[in-house]
Amino acid sequence: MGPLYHLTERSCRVRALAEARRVLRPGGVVFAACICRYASLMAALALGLLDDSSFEPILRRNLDEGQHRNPGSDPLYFTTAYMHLPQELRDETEEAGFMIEDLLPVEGPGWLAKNFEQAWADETQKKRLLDIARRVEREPALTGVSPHLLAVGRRQ
Amino acid sequence: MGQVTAHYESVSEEARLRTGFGVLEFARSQEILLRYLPPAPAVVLDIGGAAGIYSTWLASLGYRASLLDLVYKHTALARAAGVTSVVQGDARALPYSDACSDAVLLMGPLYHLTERSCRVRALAEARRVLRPGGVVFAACICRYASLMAALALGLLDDSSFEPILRRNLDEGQHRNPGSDPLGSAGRRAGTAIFGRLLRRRAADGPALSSD
Repeated sequence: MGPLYHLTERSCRVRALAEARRVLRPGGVVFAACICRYASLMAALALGLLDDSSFEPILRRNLDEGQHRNPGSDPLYFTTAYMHLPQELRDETEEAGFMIEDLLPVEGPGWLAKNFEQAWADETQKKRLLDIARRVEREPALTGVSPHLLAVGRRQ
Repeated sequence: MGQVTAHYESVSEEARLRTGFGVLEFARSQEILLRYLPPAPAVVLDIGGAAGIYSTWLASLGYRASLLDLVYKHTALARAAGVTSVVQGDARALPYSDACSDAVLLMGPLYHLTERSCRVRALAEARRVLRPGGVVFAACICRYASLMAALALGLLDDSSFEPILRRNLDEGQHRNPGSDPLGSAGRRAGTAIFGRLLRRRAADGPALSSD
């Protein structure tokens, strides 16, 4: 639930996944999280960062290469990371020798809710946010809206 | 169709693409149209063209634009806006001759034809009136427009919107049993993420792909 974010080389990510496979008994399961390629973009839109010109080159490189670098000192802009396309997480997990059991968006689109914290604090709206996440979790057209994706792999 | 025309008689479609998120929809649509339209002057049929926002823009670029719309108010507004050829009619039965146009815009009809067979008929009519090699631009509202609008506008706490949204997500059918035009136009708020489909009629004229 973290290492794949910060291993910016594909070979290192596959190695971490292969290590997970090594320490699992046959039939054991791995949960591998990644940050989605479009997380910065969606955050920039939701948080109103479009007017911050220091963020523009960060976002551009995110979208073009998936590589996230924050040369400045603003911790809002995170640290060195790799942003996966959904298919890349699937490929890397398979390449490490796992059978993919599932690959799901974690938050789904609900994190973009206006006044999210307020909505989450309200039991009814919180249920709606989780219901939305479940309802659209199989829709490829929306996968990229979720900031995190989770692959579930099984060691044969 | 009665509900649909009543909706457009009561809201200002002529302002929609000039305000709110509509401006992004309009700017991007213009960009995509220019990518595929034949050079002016060419004959463009603007089917479901509402008050003429695309037709007047196309005319300013030298295109010969004709507009058809189901809603009487829209045809009157389009004439007032200076569109020279305007007719009230139905996208499923176009009053134009075969192969008379270079491009067809369907920037609205597919939204409101809730039966698949009717949508395919409107697309087939567009194909009939296009010359071989002509191009159709067919807009739809994306399944998730209401969802994204509900999130962005903070409608999660509106319990009257929840059943509307649920049916949207499960079936793609949008109905607004209430009187709030925002509900009937969950689409209005979601215009920034409307999808665009593009179909090109092949020169040898095989059947138009219906999906």
